[in-house]
Amino acid sequence: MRPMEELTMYANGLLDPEEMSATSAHVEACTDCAQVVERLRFERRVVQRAAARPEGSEAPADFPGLLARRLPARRFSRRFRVSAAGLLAAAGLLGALALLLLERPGGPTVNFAAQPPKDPLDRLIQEFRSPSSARKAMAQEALKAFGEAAAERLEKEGLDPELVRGEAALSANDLAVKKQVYDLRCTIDLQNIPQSTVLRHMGTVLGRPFAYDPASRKASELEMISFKVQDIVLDGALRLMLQPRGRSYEVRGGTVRVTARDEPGAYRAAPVRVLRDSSEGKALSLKLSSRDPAERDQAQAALRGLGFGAEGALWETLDSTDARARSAAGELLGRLYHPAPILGTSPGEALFRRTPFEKIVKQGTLLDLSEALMKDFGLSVGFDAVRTRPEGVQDEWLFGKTALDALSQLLARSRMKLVFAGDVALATSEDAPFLSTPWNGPAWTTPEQARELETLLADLASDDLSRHGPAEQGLEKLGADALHPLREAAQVFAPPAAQRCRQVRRRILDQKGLWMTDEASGADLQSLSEAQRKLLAKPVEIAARAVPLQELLEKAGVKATLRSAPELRITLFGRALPTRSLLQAVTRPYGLDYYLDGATLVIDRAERVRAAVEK
Amino acid sequence: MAEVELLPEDTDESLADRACRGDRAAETTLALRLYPGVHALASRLLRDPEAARDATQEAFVRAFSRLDQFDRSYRFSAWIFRILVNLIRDERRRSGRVVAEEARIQEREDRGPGPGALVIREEDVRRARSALDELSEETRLAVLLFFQEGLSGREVAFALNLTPTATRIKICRGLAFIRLRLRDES
Repeated sequence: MRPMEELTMYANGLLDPEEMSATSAHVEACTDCAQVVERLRFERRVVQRAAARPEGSEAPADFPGLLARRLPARRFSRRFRVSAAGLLAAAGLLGALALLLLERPGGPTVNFAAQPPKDPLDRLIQEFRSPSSARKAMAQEALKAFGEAAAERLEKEGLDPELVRGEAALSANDLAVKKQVYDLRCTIDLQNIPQSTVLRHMGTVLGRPFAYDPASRKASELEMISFKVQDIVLDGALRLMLQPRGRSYEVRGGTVRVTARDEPGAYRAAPVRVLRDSSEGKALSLKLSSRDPAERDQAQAALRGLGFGAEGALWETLDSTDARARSAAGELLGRLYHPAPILGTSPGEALFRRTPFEKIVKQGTLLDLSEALMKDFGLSVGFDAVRTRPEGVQDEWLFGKTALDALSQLLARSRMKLVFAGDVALATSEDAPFLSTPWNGPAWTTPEQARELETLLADLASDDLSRHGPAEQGLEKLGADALHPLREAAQVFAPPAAQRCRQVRRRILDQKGLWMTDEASGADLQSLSEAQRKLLAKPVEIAARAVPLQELLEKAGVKATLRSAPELRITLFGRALPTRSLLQAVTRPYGLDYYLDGATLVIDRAERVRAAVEK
Repeated sequence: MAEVELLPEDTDESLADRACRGDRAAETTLALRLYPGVHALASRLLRDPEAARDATQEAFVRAFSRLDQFDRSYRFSAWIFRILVNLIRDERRRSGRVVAEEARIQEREDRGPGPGALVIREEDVRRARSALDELSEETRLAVLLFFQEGLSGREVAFALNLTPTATRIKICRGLAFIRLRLRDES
């Protein structure tokens, strides 16, 4: 049991980030400490209520007048007040600076990244107090994503915390998700697998990923469980699995979030706010009202590219008289304050998701079933040639609500998971270092880590070269946790800073041996001619069981030069599969990549393809 | 070159910047926004409505007269609380009133919070409020700034001119004291 002082500091967020994570790890593993922390958190709420401001603290009506009379009139603060000599010196300095800038071929440099304000709730509370009903409603929606942190803050501000807490706070979208959780039925039979796999499978049934309270994510990932339910609603399955483990779930912001039991609002997370400094926000948001749809789309994309840098302009646009502009601004703000991955579904995944499997039950070996999926439904399935041995699995049953649900459950039983490489559903081992990156928006993590990442990213984007080294080291130290924020930053920051983000991200991936399944291939980074594009889009048919790579490509009618030829025997079933997807599925999981040299497809080690394409 | 706006508009800090450039509307907005917190703290320290009102007004006058000294690595609210605390300490020093020393938090073992339902009862809140009033001034200030005003540990340390470690120990001791009172009375 840890000392009471340490637990008190932990429960109140008073420890340093490192101490926080050390204590957090202990508390997650120690039931006694976890119980004490739960009581301490309750105690904190009592003290918060006791410490609340007394009634009648508002400023009296004459306060602004009194203040104005006591303050000397000033146009500029002393900081900006300069003498005539100073002005002359400044003029000289500006002249010299202008000359320097004129000599630079690339024009003036601007610090493209600033650090956002410390607390993301500040802006939302401010908007919540706005007289504008549109801004208030949007702020209320966004506040819900912060769980109990938002409720506590509202309480402190003298506002009703219930507005973001409990059933009353559910939006129409949340109610729709909740209805799905009560309506959808599932059958699960998974033995001795990580709890996170079961949750991931439930997410597949629901068609949207689950979010975890970041503080309890690790425990969820590690805990091994056996779980068997037959044809029960998702809500029942979730309760059966979570309640004995001291967890519960709630629906907020269109997302199902796993939280601590009896404290559904305990979810603590914050977005990693990446922003590009720009004065363009207002001008771009005005274009959201343009009559030209292309101009509107361009403005929307550009505003998205400013990340949180566009936030101020977007809030103002909610008051626009133009409904289209209001709607676009709401959508962009919703993206900023969305606490879970926004799914970007590939056509292949969408096909798996919409192929019903309810009435069709199939039996056979895993390979037979995969081939049947290809023949009966036109679905493409591949097997990781290095990390799986599907030929050893006999007599499996394939059943579920959709093909995705059925196949992912079948694979989970064999300690495998499904990742999408282009249009191919690739079955690989549960612990393969593959990360799918459906993220399309800011990453959400613990508030402490979000602040740390924001600082490191701002340093990396700064014009001050001395800040780059420590920022790179800090990000590399964070490892996989920095990958999504770096990806977002590479989209938001201006080219030089974005390039640095990509480099750091690449180093982390290399160090950890990770592959992000939607990472661009060599050919995606090339400027392709129409003929080359057609070549990659050409559909192929393939049914291969443990066939050498070169032979498989020939069978599929793809002419390629293999500059690196590892001993791979590929198993893949595909119908009307674009050549691009086939190439992705047979190269990227094995450290290979491809590019086009004229009309010739070249397959080589990924790093050599990168070097060739960059050259 | 156009000035690059670093902060979203209308945070306390951006209002302070605008006030610093002579924007009276920003100054008024900022003052009205922060008045309740500053006044509430002054009231709990001074326990005299008139003195609290005067101290609050004086804190704002001092803050707005010295905006160029505002340390932007802290929130503006932390800075104005620091000014208020210094103001009250100075006044007490001048008038010869001695501020109560750190209260003796009972040297009993802190066995942590007691068992019970996790439902907030008004009775517990009342007891906690009364225990809060029994704390020494500095500990009470630390607890109030942290829980009432939502400052971080680092900001409370800045407002009270203490080290961060001393501050978090004070907050913990304050909580331990309140905890003991709650256990005793239940």
